[in-house]
Amino acid sequence: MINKIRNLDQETRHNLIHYSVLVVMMNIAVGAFLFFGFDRIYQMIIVLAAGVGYVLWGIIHHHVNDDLHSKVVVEYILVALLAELIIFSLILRA
Amino acid sequence: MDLLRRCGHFFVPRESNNFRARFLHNHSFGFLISLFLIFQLILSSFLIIEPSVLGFAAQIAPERIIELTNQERAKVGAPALTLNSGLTEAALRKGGDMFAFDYWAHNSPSGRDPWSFFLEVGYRYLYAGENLARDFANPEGVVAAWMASPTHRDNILNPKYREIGVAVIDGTLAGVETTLVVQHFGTPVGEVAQAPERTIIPQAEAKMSVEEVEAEEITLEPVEIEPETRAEVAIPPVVPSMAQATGEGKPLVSPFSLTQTVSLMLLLTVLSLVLVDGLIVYKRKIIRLSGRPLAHTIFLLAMILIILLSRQGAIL
Repeated sequence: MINKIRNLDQETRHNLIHYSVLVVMMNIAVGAFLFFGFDRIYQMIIVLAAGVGYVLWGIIHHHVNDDLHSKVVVEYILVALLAELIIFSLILRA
Repeated sequence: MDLLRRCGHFFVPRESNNFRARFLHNHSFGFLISLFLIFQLILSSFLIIEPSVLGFAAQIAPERIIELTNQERAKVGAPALTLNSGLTEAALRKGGDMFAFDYWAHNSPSGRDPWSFFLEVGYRYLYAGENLARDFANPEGVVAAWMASPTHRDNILNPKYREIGVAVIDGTLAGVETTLVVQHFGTPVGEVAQAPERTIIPQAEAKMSVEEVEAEEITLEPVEIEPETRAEVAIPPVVPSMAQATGEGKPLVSPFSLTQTVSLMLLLTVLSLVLVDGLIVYKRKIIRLSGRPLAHTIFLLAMILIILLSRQGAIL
Protein backbone atom coordinates (compact mmCIF):
# COMPACT_ATOMS: atom_id res chain seq x y z
CA MET A 1 0.00 0.00 0.00
CA ILE A 2 2.84 2.38 0.95
CA ASN A 3 4.61 1.44 -2.28
CA LYS A 4 1.42 2.15 -4.19
CA ILE A 5 1.13 5.61 -2.61
CA ARG A 6 4.82 6.23 -3.27
CA ASN A 7 4.34 5.21 -6.91
CA LEU A 8 1.29 7.42 -7.19
CA ASP A 9 3.22 10.33 -5.75
CA GLN A 10 5.98 9.74 -8.22
CA GLU A 11 3.48 9.56 -11.07
CA THR A 12 1.78 12.75 -9.95
CA ARG A 13 5.14 14.46 -9.65
CA HIS A 14 6.12 13.27 -13.12
CA ASN A 15 2.84 14.47 -14.56
CA LEU A 16 3.20 17.80 -12.82
CA ILE A 17 6.59 18.29 -14.46
CA HIS A 18 5.24 17.13 -17.83
CA TYR A 19 2.25 19.48 -17.75
CA SER A 20 4.41 22.35 -16.53
CA VAL A 21 6.69 21.83 -19.53
CA LEU A 22 3.67 21.89 -21.84
CA VAL A 23 2.31 25.08 -20.21
CA VAL A 24 5.72 26.78 -20.55
CA MET A 25 5.97 25.68 -24.20
CA MET A 26 2.56 27.07 -25.03
CA ASN A 27 3.25 30.30 -23.13
CA ILE A 28 6.43 30.80 -25.15
CA ALA A 29 4.48 30.14 -28.37
CA VAL A 30 1.77 32.70 -27.49
CA GLY A 31 4.38 35.27 -26.37
CA ALA A 32 6.46 34.79 -29.52
CA PHE A 33 3.35 35.06 -31.70
CA LEU A 34 2.53 38.37 -30.04
CA PHE A 35 6.14 39.58 -30.30
CA PHE A 36 6.27 38.98 -34.05
CA GLY A 37 3.05 40.95 -34.48
CA PHE A 38 3.03 41.51 -38.24
CA ASP A 39 5.69 39.09 -39.45
CA ARG A 40 3.56 36.36 -40.94
CA ILE A 41 6.44 34.06 -41.82
CA TYR A 42 7.69 34.05 -38.21
CA GLN A 43 4.15 33.65 -36.91
CA MET A 44 3.64 30.58 -39.11
CA ILE A 45 6.96 29.10 -37.96
CA ILE A 46 5.96 29.69 -34.31
CA VAL A 47 2.56 28.01 -34.75
CA LEU A 48 4.17 25.10 -36.60
CA ALA A 49 6.77 24.71 -33.84
CA ALA A 50 4.01 24.79 -31.19
CA GLY A 51 2.14 21.99 -33.00
CA VAL A 52 5.24 19.83 -33.48
CA GLY A 53 6.26 20.45 -29.85
CA TYR A 54 2.80 19.41 -28.68
CA VAL A 55 2.89 16.14 -30.66
CA LEU A 56 6.42 15.39 -29.38
CA TRP A 57 5.30 16.19 -25.83
CA GLY A 58 2.43 13.70 -26.25
CA ILE A 59 4.73 10.96 -27.54
CA ILE A 60 7.27 11.46 -24.73
CA HIS A 61 4.58 11.75 -22.04
CA HIS A 62 2.78 8.57 -23.11
CA HIS A 63 6.07 6.74 -23.58
CA VAL A 64 7.11 7.61 -20.01
CA ASN A 65 3.67 6.52 -18.75
CA ASP A 66 3.89 3.24 -20.73
CA ASP A 67 0.70 3.83 -22.68
CA LEU A 68 2.06 4.96 -26.02
CA HIS A 69 0.00 3.63 -28.92
CA SER A 70 -0.20 4.61 -32.57
CA LYS A 71 -3.85 5.60 -32.05
CA VAL A 72 -2.78 8.07 -29.37
CA VAL A 73 -0.06 9.54 -31.62
CA VAL A 74 -2.61 9.97 -34.43
CA GLU A 75 -4.93 11.74 -31.98
CA TYR A 76 -2.24 14.28 -31.03
CA ILE A 77 -1.34 14.79 -34.70
CA LEU A 78 -5.00 15.38 -35.67
CA VAL A 79 -5.62 17.87 -32.83
CA ALA A 80 -2.42 19.73 -33.77
CA LEU A 81 -3.31 19.61 -37.49
CA LEU A 82 -6.78 21.05 -36.90
CA ALA A 83 -5.42 23.95 -34.84
CA GLU A 84 -2.50 24.61 -37.23
CA LEU A 85 -4.78 24.61 -40.26
CA ILE A 86 -7.14 27.09 -38.61
CA ILE A 87 -4.37 29.49 -37.57
CA PHE A 88 -2.54 29.24 -40.90
CA SER A 89 -5.79 30.15 -42.69
CA LEU A 90 -6.21 33.09 -40.35
CA ILE A 91 -2.64 34.32 -40.86
CA LEU A 92 -3.00 34.07 -44.63
CA ARG A 93 -6.32 35.93 -44.56
CA ALA A 94 -4.97 38.75 -42.35
CA MET B 1 -35.56 11.35 -24.13
CA ASP B 2 -34.40 9.00 -26.82
CA LEU B 3 -33.06 11.97 -28.77
CA LEU B 4 -31.09 13.15 -25.71
CA ARG B 5 -29.58 9.71 -25.33
CA ARG B 6 -28.61 9.69 -28.97
CA CYS B 7 -27.05 13.13 -28.69
CA GLY B 8 -25.16 12.04 -25.58
CA HIS B 9 -23.46 9.41 -27.73
CA PHE B 10 -21.75 12.23 -29.66
CA PHE B 11 -20.89 14.49 -26.72
CA VAL B 12 -20.50 12.42 -23.53
CA PRO B 13 -18.15 9.46 -22.87
CA ARG B 14 -20.16 6.27 -22.23
CA GLU B 15 -20.17 2.59 -23.04
CA SER B 16 -21.86 3.06 -26.43
CA ASN B 17 -18.95 5.24 -27.69
CA ASN B 18 -16.20 3.26 -25.99
CA PHE B 19 -16.08 5.86 -23.19
CA ARG B 20 -15.09 8.71 -25.44
CA ALA B 21 -17.45 11.29 -26.97
CA ARG B 22 -17.99 10.35 -30.60
CA PHE B 23 -16.95 13.87 -31.64
CA LEU B 24 -13.55 13.29 -30.05
CA HIS B 25 -12.76 10.13 -31.96
CA ASN B 26 -9.89 10.37 -34.43
CA HIS B 27 -12.15 10.13 -37.50
CA SER B 28 -14.22 13.06 -36.12
CA PHE B 29 -11.09 15.22 -36.00
CA GLY B 30 -10.47 14.19 -39.61
CA PHE B 31 -14.05 15.20 -40.41
CA LEU B 32 -13.60 18.61 -38.73
CA ILE B 33 -10.37 19.21 -40.69
CA SER B 34 -12.16 18.38 -43.96
CA LEU B 35 -15.08 20.61 -42.97
CA PHE B 36 -12.78 23.56 -42.30
CA LEU B 37 -10.96 23.03 -45.61
CA ILE B 38 -14.30 23.03 -47.47
CA PHE B 39 -15.26 26.26 -45.66
CA GLN B 40 -12.01 27.91 -46.76
CA LEU B 41 -12.53 26.67 -50.32
CA ILE B 42 -16.05 28.12 -50.43
CA LEU B 43 -14.77 31.39 -48.95
CA SER B 44 -12.01 31.66 -51.57
CA SER B 45 -14.45 30.83 -54.38
CA PHE B 46 -16.86 33.45 -53.08
CA LEU B 47 -14.07 36.04 -53.11
CA ILE B 48 -13.65 35.44 -56.82
CA ILE B 49 -17.36 35.28 -57.67
CA GLU B 50 -18.61 38.09 -55.41
CA PRO B 51 -15.67 40.34 -54.46
CA SER B 52 -17.94 43.20 -53.43
CA VAL B 53 -19.43 41.21 -50.56
CA LEU B 54 -16.25 39.91 -48.96
CA GLY B 55 -13.31 42.21 -48.34
CA PHE B 56 -11.99 44.97 -46.19
CA ALA B 57 -12.38 48.72 -46.30
CA ALA B 58 -11.55 51.04 -43.43
CA GLN B 59 -11.99 54.66 -42.50
CA ILE B 60 -8.44 55.95 -42.22
CA ALA B 61 -7.76 59.66 -42.37
CA PRO B 62 -4.39 60.49 -43.98
CA GLU B 63 -4.13 63.56 -41.73
CA ARG B 64 -4.26 61.30 -38.67
CA ILE B 65 -1.44 59.12 -40.07
CA ILE B 66 0.69 62.25 -40.49
CA GLU B 67 -0.21 63.47 -37.01
CA LEU B 68 0.74 60.13 -35.45
CA THR B 69 3.95 60.00 -37.48
CA ASN B 70 4.94 63.43 -36.22
CA GLN B 71 4.09 62.41 -32.66
CA GLU B 72 6.50 59.48 -32.96
CA ARG B 73 9.18 61.75 -34.45
CA ALA B 74 8.72 64.28 -31.63
CA LYS B 75 9.49 61.55 -29.10
CA VAL B 76 13.00 61.13 -30.55
CA GLY B 77 13.55 64.80 -31.32
CA ALA B 78 13.25 64.44 -35.10
CA PRO B 79 11.80 67.50 -36.89
CA ALA B 80 8.09 67.40 -37.71
CA LEU B 81 7.24 66.56 -41.33
CA THR B 82 5.22 68.97 -43.38
CA LEU B 83 2.55 67.84 -45.81
CA ASN B 84 3.63 68.08 -49.44
CA SER B 85 1.02 67.88 -52.18
CA GLY B 86 3.56 66.39 -54.61
CA LEU B 87 4.31 63.53 -52.23
CA THR B 88 0.58 63.00 -51.63
CA GLU B 89 0.08 62.78 -55.39
CA ALA B 90 3.03 60.36 -55.70
CA ALA B 91 1.51 58.19 -52.93
CA LEU B 92 -1.88 58.24 -54.69
CA ARG B 93 -0.28 57.22 -57.98
CA LYS B 94 1.66 54.43 -56.29
CA GLY B 95 -1.53 53.08 -54.68
CA GLY B 96 -3.40 53.37 -57.98
CA ASP B 97 -0.58 51.52 -59.75
CA MET B 98 -0.72 48.72 -57.15
CA PHE B 99 -4.45 48.23 -57.78
CA ALA B 100 -4.13 48.63 -61.56
CA PHE B 101 -1.36 46.04 -61.84
CA ASP B 102 -2.55 43.95 -58.90
CA TYR B 103 0.58 43.77 -56.75
CA TRP B 104 1.54 44.16 -53.10
CA ALA B 105 5.20 45.12 -53.20
CA HIS B 106 7.48 48.14 -53.30
CA ASN B 107 8.46 47.40 -56.88
CA SER B 108 5.83 46.69 -59.54
CA PRO B 109 5.88 43.40 -61.47
CA SER B 110 7.34 45.31 -64.41
CA GLY B 111 10.22 46.45 -62.20
CA ARG B 112 9.03 49.99 -61.57
CA ASP B 113 10.46 51.25 -58.26
CA PRO B 114 8.76 53.60 -55.76
CA TRP B 115 11.03 56.49 -56.63
CA SER B 116 9.70 56.75 -60.16
CA PHE B 117 6.40 58.02 -58.70
CA PHE B 118 8.27 60.84 -56.94
CA LEU B 119 9.88 61.86 -60.19
CA GLU B 120 6.64 61.41 -62.11
CA VAL B 121 4.99 64.21 -60.12
CA GLY B 122 8.08 66.39 -60.41
CA TYR B 123 9.29 65.90 -56.85
CA ARG B 124 13.09 66.14 -57.03
CA TYR B 125 14.36 64.53 -53.87
CA LEU B 126 17.53 64.37 -51.91
CA TYR B 127 16.20 61.62 -49.66
CA ALA B 128 13.11 59.51 -50.17
CA GLY B 129 11.32 56.65 -48.43
CA GLU B 130 8.17 54.57 -48.66
CA ASN B 131 6.04 52.63 -46.14
CA LEU B 132 3.06 50.50 -47.18
CA ALA B 133 0.16 49.04 -45.17
CA ARG B 134 -3.08 47.28 -45.97
CA ASP B 135 -6.23 46.07 -44.26
CA PHE B 136 -5.92 48.00 -41.01
CA ALA B 137 -9.06 49.21 -39.28
CA ASN B 138 -7.64 52.50 -37.96
CA PRO B 139 -4.65 54.87 -38.32
CA GLU B 140 -3.33 53.98 -34.84
CA GLY B 141 -3.02 50.33 -35.90
CA VAL B 142 -1.12 51.28 -39.04
CA VAL B 143 1.45 53.47 -37.26
CA ALA B 144 1.80 50.97 -34.38
CA ALA B 145 2.56 48.20 -36.88
CA TRP B 146 5.15 50.32 -38.69
CA MET B 147 6.76 51.29 -35.38
CA ALA B 148 7.00 47.60 -34.45
CA SER B 149 9.04 46.90 -37.58
CA PRO B 150 12.66 48.17 -37.41
CA THR B 151 12.89 49.11 -41.11
CA HIS B 152 9.58 50.98 -41.15
CA ARG B 153 10.38 52.66 -37.83
CA ASP B 154 13.71 53.85 -39.32
CA ASN B 155 11.75 55.53 -42.10
CA ILE B 156 9.29 57.18 -39.69
CA LEU B 157 12.02 58.46 -37.36
CA ASN B 158 14.62 59.37 -39.99
CA PRO B 159 15.64 62.98 -39.21
CA LYS B 160 16.76 63.49 -42.81
CA TYR B 161 13.18 63.62 -44.06
CA ARG B 162 11.42 66.97 -44.17
CA GLU B 163 8.14 66.30 -46.00
CA ILE B 164 5.45 63.66 -46.14
CA GLY B 165 2.53 62.56 -48.30
CA VAL B 166 -0.04 59.91 -47.37
CA ALA B 167 -2.69 58.26 -49.52
CA VAL B 168 -5.46 55.96 -48.32
CA ILE B 169 -7.08 54.11 -51.21
CA ASP B 170 -9.79 51.48 -51.50
CA GLY B 171 -9.64 48.93 -54.28
CA THR B 172 -9.34 45.26 -55.16
CA LEU B 173 -6.06 43.43 -54.71
CA ALA B 174 -5.82 39.76 -55.74
CA GLY B 175 -9.63 39.66 -55.87
CA VAL B 176 -10.12 41.02 -52.35
CA GLU B 177 -11.50 44.43 -51.39
CA THR B 178 -8.64 46.18 -49.67
CA THR B 179 -7.71 49.51 -48.10
CA LEU B 180 -4.14 50.51 -48.91
CA VAL B 181 -2.10 53.10 -47.05
CA VAL B 182 0.88 54.54 -48.91
CA GLN B 183 3.23 56.79 -46.96
CA HIS B 184 5.91 58.71 -48.86
CA PHE B 185 8.75 60.60 -47.19
CA GLY B 186 11.04 63.05 -48.91
CA THR B 187 13.51 65.86 -48.65
CA PRO B 188 13.48 68.05 -51.74
CA VAL B 189 16.69 69.10 -53.45
CA GLY B 190 17.94 72.35 -51.97
CA GLU B 191 16.33 71.70 -48.58
CA VAL B 192 19.65 70.75 -46.94
CA ALA B 193 22.37 73.40 -47.15
CA GLN B 194 25.36 71.13 -47.80
CA ALA B 195 23.74 68.96 -50.43
CA PRO B 196 26.10 66.23 -51.61
CA GLU B 197 26.89 65.75 -55.26
CA ARG B 198 25.36 62.30 -55.17
CA THR B 199 21.94 61.54 -53.84
CA ILE B 200 21.42 58.96 -51.11
CA ILE B 201 18.02 57.35 -50.83
CA PRO B 202 16.80 54.45 -48.74
CA GLN B 203 16.34 51.70 -51.28
CA ALA B 204 13.45 49.36 -50.51
CA GLU B 205 14.23 45.86 -51.62
CA ALA B 206 11.14 43.73 -51.88
CA LYS B 207 10.20 40.52 -53.57
CA MET B 208 7.66 40.99 -56.32
CA SER B 209 4.41 39.08 -56.25
CA VAL B 210 1.13 39.49 -58.06
CA GLU B 211 -1.05 37.49 -55.68
CA GLU B 212 0.60 38.67 -52.53
CA VAL B 213 -0.81 37.43 -49.28
CA GLU B 214 2.30 37.22 -47.16
CA ALA B 215 4.21 39.93 -45.37
CA GLU B 216 7.60 40.37 -46.95
CA GLU B 217 10.79 41.47 -45.35
CA ILE B 218 12.00 44.85 -46.47
CA THR B 219 15.54 45.99 -45.98
CA LEU B 220 16.58 49.54 -46.25
CA GLU B 221 20.03 50.17 -47.55
CA PRO B 222 21.40 53.52 -48.54
CA VAL B 223 21.99 53.49 -52.27
CA GLU B 224 23.86 56.13 -54.12
CA ILE B 225 22.44 57.29 -57.40
CA GLU B 226 23.74 59.68 -59.97
CA PRO B 227 22.06 63.08 -59.96
CA GLU B 228 21.28 62.62 -63.65
CA THR B 229 18.83 59.84 -62.80
CA ARG B 230 16.66 62.51 -61.26
CA ALA B 231 16.24 64.13 -64.60
CA GLU B 232 12.96 65.77 -65.44
CA VAL B 233 10.27 63.29 -66.32
CA ALA B 234 7.09 64.16 -68.12
CA ILE B 235 4.08 63.83 -65.80
CA PRO B 236 1.60 61.37 -67.27
CA PRO B 237 -2.13 61.75 -66.74
CA VAL B 238 -3.56 60.66 -63.40
CA VAL B 239 -3.86 56.90 -63.03
CA PRO B 240 -7.55 56.25 -63.68
CA SER B 241 -8.06 53.27 -61.38
CA MET B 242 -6.99 54.93 -58.18
CA ALA B 243 -8.48 56.66 -55.20
CA GLN B 244 -12.08 55.99 -54.78
CA ALA B 245 -13.31 57.75 -51.67
CA THR B 246 -13.19 55.56 -48.60
CA GLY B 247 -16.47 54.38 -47.18
CA GLU B 248 -18.58 54.00 -50.29
CA GLY B 249 -19.51 50.52 -51.43
CA LYS B 250 -17.84 48.97 -48.40
CA PRO B 251 -17.76 45.17 -48.40
CA LEU B 252 -20.17 43.53 -45.98
CA VAL B 253 -17.89 40.92 -44.45
CA SER B 254 -14.14 40.69 -44.02
CA PRO B 255 -12.78 37.19 -44.89
CA PHE B 256 -10.40 37.53 -41.95
CA SER B 257 -13.19 38.27 -39.44
CA LEU B 258 -15.30 35.45 -40.86
CA THR B 259 -12.42 32.97 -40.60
CA GLN B 260 -11.62 34.22 -37.08
CA THR B 261 -15.23 33.76 -35.91
CA VAL B 262 -15.61 30.30 -37.45
CA SER B 263 -12.19 29.25 -36.08
CA LEU B 264 -13.08 30.39 -32.58
CA MET B 265 -16.43 28.63 -32.66
CA LEU B 266 -14.84 25.41 -33.89
CA LEU B 267 -12.00 25.34 -31.38
CA LEU B 268 -14.25 26.41 -28.48
CA THR B 269 -16.64 23.55 -29.33
CA VAL B 270 -13.76 21.05 -29.37
CA LEU B 271 -12.40 22.51 -26.12
CA SER B 272 -15.81 22.24 -24.40
CA LEU B 273 -16.12 18.61 -25.46
CA VAL B 274 -12.59 17.86 -24.27
CA LEU B 275 -13.34 19.49 -20.91
CA VAL B 276 -16.60 17.55 -20.43
CA ASP B 277 -14.83 14.36 -21.50
CA GLY B 278 -11.93 15.01 -19.11
CA LEU B 279 -14.21 15.75 -16.15
CA ILE B 280 -16.34 12.62 -16.66
CA VAL B 281 -13.29 10.40 -17.15
CA TYR B 282 -11.68 11.86 -14.02
CA LYS B 283 -14.84 11.55 -11.88
CA ARG B 284 -15.67 8.02 -12.98
CA LYS B 285 -12.01 7.00 -12.94
CA ILE B 286 -12.30 5.54 -16.44
CA ILE B 287 -9.08 4.00 -17.69
CA ARG B 288 -8.74 4.15 -21.46
CA LEU B 289 -6.13 4.43 -24.18
CA SER B 290 -6.31 7.99 -25.51
CA GLY B 291 -4.65 11.40 -25.41
CA ARG B 292 -4.70 13.38 -22.17
CA PRO B 293 -7.70 15.75 -21.97
CA LEU B 294 -5.64 18.16 -19.84
CA ALA B 295 -2.90 18.29 -22.49
CA HIS B 296 -5.49 18.92 -25.23
CA THR B 297 -7.02 21.66 -23.06
CA ILE B 298 -3.66 23.44 -22.58
CA PHE B 299 -2.86 23.23 -26.29
CA LEU B 300 -6.32 24.32 -27.44
CA LEU B 301 -6.36 27.22 -24.97
CA ALA B 302 -3.02 28.43 -26.36
CA MET B 303 -4.34 28.17 -29.93
CA ILE B 304 -7.55 30.03 -29.02
CA LEU B 305 -5.43 32.77 -27.44
CA ILE B 306 -3.38 33.00 -30.64
CA ILE B 307 -6.59 33.32 -32.68
CA LEU B 308 -7.79 36.11 -30.38
CA LEU B 309 -4.42 37.87 -30.66
CA SER B 310 -4.37 37.65 -34.46
CA ARG B 311 -4.74 41.07 -36.01
CA GLN B 312 -5.72 42.02 -39.47
CA GLY B 313 -3.37 44.11 -41.52
CA ALA B 314 -0.05 43.78 -43.28
CA ILE B 315 2.87 46.15 -43.74
CA LEU B 316 5.57 46.29 -46.35
